[in-house]
Amino acid sequence: MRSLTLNILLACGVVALSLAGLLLGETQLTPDQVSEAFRNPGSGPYQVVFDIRLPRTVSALVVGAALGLAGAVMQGLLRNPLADPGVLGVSGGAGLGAALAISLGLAVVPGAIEVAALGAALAVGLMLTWLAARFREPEILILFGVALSAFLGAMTSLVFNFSPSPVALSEVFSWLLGSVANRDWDDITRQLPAMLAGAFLCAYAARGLVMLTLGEEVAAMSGLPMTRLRAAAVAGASLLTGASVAMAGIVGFVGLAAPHLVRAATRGDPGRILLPSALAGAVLLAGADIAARVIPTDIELKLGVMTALFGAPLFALIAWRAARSWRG
Amino acid sequence: MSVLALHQLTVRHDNRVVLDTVSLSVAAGELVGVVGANGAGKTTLLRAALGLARPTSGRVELAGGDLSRMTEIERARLAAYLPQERHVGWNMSAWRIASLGAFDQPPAEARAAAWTALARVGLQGLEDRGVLQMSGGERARVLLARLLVTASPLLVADEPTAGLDPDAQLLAMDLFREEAARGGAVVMTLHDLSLAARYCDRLVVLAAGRIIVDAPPLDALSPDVLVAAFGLTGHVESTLDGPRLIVHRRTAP
Repeated sequence: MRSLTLNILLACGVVALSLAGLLLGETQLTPDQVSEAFRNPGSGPYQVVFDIRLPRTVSALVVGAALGLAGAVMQGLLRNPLADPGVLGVSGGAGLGAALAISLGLAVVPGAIEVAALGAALAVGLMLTWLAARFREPEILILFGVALSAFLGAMTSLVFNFSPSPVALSEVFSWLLGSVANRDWDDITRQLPAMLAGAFLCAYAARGLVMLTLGEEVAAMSGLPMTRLRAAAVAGASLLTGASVAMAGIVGFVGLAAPHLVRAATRGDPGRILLPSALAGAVLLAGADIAARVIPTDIELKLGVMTALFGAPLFALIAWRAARSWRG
Repeated sequence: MSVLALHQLTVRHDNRVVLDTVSLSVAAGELVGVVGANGAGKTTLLRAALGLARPTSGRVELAGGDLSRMTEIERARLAAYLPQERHVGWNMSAWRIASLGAFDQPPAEARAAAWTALARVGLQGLEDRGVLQMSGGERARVLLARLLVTASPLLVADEPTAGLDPDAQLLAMDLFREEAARGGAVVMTLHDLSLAARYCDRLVVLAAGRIIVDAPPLDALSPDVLVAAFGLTGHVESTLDGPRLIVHRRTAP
């Protein structure tokens, strides 16, 4: 029952932040104005709410949920509390795809950056899925992931190196910092199929993640189709991560921290942690986005900067408390 | 028909022969101990018997079927494994870990089976405790309970008594005897030769990857075998509690 209570609480958080996301921004709307937006299409508040605030809020919720879920799946698969959605190089791949697209001047084509980012992420994801089916040991996957991330990071630096203009360079940088500002419904619907497919694969892999708690060999002897479940976990997390980066750039810490926030309440169960991690990720990212909007700075804070800035100390606090409980 | 049969099984790692043309047959109701010095190939024998280590040559049969042609599900119905490694990834409750032995049963039944097994290993009252908050010996008992929950016709356990207190060691061996009495087959590695002599129907003694003897404890632990396999002088006495090993000294200078 504890995990049901947690899910209900987190769902309430999602609803509350969604409402706050409609009210708060550069110009504050009153509750009356928001209700007018719903009653009166074509009014000023309608445009602010349905063309700007709602897609932005939904983007933050969807990306947060995807990253939270992908993080929980990676931690379960690799049996490592330090794993995050980008640990195996999927974010790096998406970043490289986007950087290439921008520096080749494709940014003017609507959706081109996203397609490049998602395509590159899927290529990396496909390779990882093959590796996960071939190698049982999480350490081997992590080593491949570290090598792949380093290589993709170097390739992205190479793109910077050969960047034809400082404008393109700053555009790539700005994109990589992560944001859900100015997202419209098309941006969301373009990524939704990949995210839904990813979530479905992760849900399918859940029972395999639970069995992996006992180690690779016991899981292999459990009767579950572990090769398939491991591949599904990697493919699902890659789809979620790739689509998130395509939609919002690179947003760190949410995928790492969300599972930790809910781990104690789910008794460490790597299957039951998936839904609350997704909800916690949505809450974290929607909260961070609202904070980025309302903190009065000349240039709006980037989402990726916000999550790292506030996520890192929060994460250190969680680690501190976890370390104390482990020591007993 | 034997529950487990190894035919001329050879396993190599990096051109080193770890298991050398090993043949072994285990029948239902038998408790078989695999003993030998460190590095003799005990764990590899268990892993190869379950298809977790790939043989270079030879074949394995589970309940008469060729292991190499079985699906993961078919294999899981015929054998369950308790590895020596007792690492548990997350702090799940003891009953939840034990219930993973019956993941394909309805949750309520799996839970009931887990509670019963935890009581059998002497952990009643600790069902809800997180396994990472337990002592190493308690965690080992939880993992043993998970093995019992599988109710598999063949239980394969690698050093199941390592790290247990003396009472729990006897309890674990009693439980394996009960499983054998119910018609299950049990194959386990053991370092404690006294425990092995006292509880096992048969001992398989490994040295440098070869089976040097496969016989009831009194015959298997003859003075010659003790020297050849363990570098020890000693003898086995019959007592009211079963055979008992008396070790004299090391033969190495």
